[in-house]
Amino acid sequence: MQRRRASMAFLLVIPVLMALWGGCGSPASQTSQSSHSPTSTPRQIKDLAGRAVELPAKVNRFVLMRGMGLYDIAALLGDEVEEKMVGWDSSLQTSDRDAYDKFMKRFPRFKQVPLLGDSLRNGVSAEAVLALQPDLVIGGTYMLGQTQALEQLDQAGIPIVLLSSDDPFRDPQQGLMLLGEVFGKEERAKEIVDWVNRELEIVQKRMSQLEGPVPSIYVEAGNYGAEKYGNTFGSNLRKQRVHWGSLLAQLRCQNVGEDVSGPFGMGVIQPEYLLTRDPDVIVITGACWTAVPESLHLGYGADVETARQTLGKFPTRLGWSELKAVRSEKVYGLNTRLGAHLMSFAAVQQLAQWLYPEEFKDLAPHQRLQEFHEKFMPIGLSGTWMVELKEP
Amino acid sequence: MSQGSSHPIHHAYRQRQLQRQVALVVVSLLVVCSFLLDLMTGPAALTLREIVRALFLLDPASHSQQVIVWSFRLPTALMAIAVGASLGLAGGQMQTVLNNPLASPYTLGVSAAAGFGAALVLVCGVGKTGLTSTMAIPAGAFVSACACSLFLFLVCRLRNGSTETLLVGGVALHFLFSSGLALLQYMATNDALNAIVFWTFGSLQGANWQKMGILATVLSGTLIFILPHVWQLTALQLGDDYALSLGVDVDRLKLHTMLVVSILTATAVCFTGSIGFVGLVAPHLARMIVGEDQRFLILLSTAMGALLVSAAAVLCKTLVPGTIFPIGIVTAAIGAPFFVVLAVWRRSTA
Repeated sequence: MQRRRASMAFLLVIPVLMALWGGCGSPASQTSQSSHSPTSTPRQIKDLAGRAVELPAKVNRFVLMRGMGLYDIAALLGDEVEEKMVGWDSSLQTSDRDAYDKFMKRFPRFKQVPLLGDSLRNGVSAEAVLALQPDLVIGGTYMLGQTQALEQLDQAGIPIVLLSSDDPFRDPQQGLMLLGEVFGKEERAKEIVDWVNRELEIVQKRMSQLEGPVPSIYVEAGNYGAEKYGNTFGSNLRKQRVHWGSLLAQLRCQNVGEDVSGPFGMGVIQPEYLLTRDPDVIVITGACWTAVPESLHLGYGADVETARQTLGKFPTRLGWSELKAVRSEKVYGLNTRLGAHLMSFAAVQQLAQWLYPEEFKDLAPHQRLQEFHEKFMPIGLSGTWMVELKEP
Repeated sequence: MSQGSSHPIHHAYRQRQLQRQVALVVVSLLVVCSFLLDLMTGPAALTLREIVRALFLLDPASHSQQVIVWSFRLPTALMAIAVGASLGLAGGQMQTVLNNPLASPYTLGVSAAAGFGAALVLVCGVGKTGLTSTMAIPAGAFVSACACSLFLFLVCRLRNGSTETLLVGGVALHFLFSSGLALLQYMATNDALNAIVFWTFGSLQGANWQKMGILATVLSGTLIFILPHVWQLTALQLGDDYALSLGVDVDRLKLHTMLVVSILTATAVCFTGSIGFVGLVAPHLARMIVGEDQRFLILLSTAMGALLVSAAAVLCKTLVPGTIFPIGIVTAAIGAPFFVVLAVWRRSTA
């Protein structure tokens, strides 16, 4: 605790010192003026951890320490991401293989971009990052006090911007606006954020007007398949709700796993507790998990029939035949990464429709996801992202 | 045998015998209490009446209550007892055979080997084994744990079964498998890493009648093998030479016992992951109460292990209601400081 506070204070102090030093004599490398950037050299921004960060006028080389953030950055930069990203950590490769393959295919030059190891496991060496001479390193707020490489880079004077996706309704959008500022693409960022917010508002507005009983929902990560219970999304050990836990808390529904707590806001529910809570809707989240073949595969490379078959095994769990959700066939599958980036609007719309089939009958979340890809993403939508027990 | 039943030594012996019997009965009763408590607690908040009705299938309407009692609580509560009993028994026998109070499934590397085996299956891909993950992971753990034990025997055979060799070999294997496990964790994808970490925490989640049946069979088999040898095992405590002079085939006895308890340990940990410190602490507690008399020590370390894990299971449930909390963390957290207190206390009273 002490160490973390100390390192946080340290991270805050460094930019201030840098600002003082920068005021005395600007380094020669920062003389090139940018036509995009409206601010003068050097500029200061505030990241999602509340840290003030000093940035060069133009960011041409960045290192992504939070591989999963590639979705958002690719939406903002489009094809430019291929030349601007000079290094990244391996978390996209090891946690979201489908998306990784998709991006690699779209941007062949990524093959030459060094993979720096996994930032979640302190696998990134600060020296390797420095060698890439980045103008900026992009990380996540959860790395504060956790990732040594980040502290070392900060000491070396490399600007670090920390982003977050803890609150899927706000954080990814805020992060994108910030990135817009960083890369001098404010308009593009605003266009994307407005689009996403509009999609979210449709649900929020209509939901706030709903009356009657609040349906209950159970969401579980399907990374072990039907034979073993995976994590459900409640709160972390400091009672904060993040990602799916936060998303569910902001919808008009009763998350039966809300009291489950554990690191990163996840934990395994006791099966008998689930049986007593008897949820109205059950959602199993899927991704490209390779460790366990029975896991629910959803995402860019997922096949709908296989996903439906996997999902169909969950209702055969002990005691589940008695559950309301199973009897009414309200067991669904949804891509798990949708709870942690800009595209969470699709998850929000899909959950709304599953919770209130009548009231949100007109929504077409998959179509919206397709539209988002066509409008903003350099890669196209493919595979299966949502699945139901019944064939449509 | 002398007939003088009024002889003070006989009197003292009988009294000591009685004390030991009482201790055994008390601990067994505590196990039963803990088991009932385990059965009665849970987030479903069933009343005693509901549990009894579900247990004896009296009320066909409450199907979900029957599922809770018969499929969740009973196998988990019994599994806690079986795993604890297995670890207690195995630890006790390892300490006896190796004549070393630090021997346990954990210190001899068997637990680490099991973890390594499970991780190897997860990292190499469950799909390649052609089994489901619920089969392949325990199988990997079991094979690896047995391989570890077998290797220990081979080393032992080569060096004429010296206990020092076995112990040093075990500790070396522990570190070897631990580093192998660390390497696998480093190489693993994030989802495999999560699975490995949770496996090594140890958990009773996933207990079912099938696993329970397998473990109960192996446990009974081990007891059936060991109990006829109680006197020979007791003789071992007097030293190998003395036991030899009493006609005990020391090497054979040691190897067979180690083999049997290793299989028992491998079976226990392959289903639950490593549940630390039970195998070490339970025999010590038992020895404090009944001494080295194997007739009682074997049964009491078994019962003590069962009590420890069962009580930890109840604690786990009440600690974080609604969430499955890994039991291995609780047993280690209680066991480690307890062990230190035990050691200090014994030294000061000795």
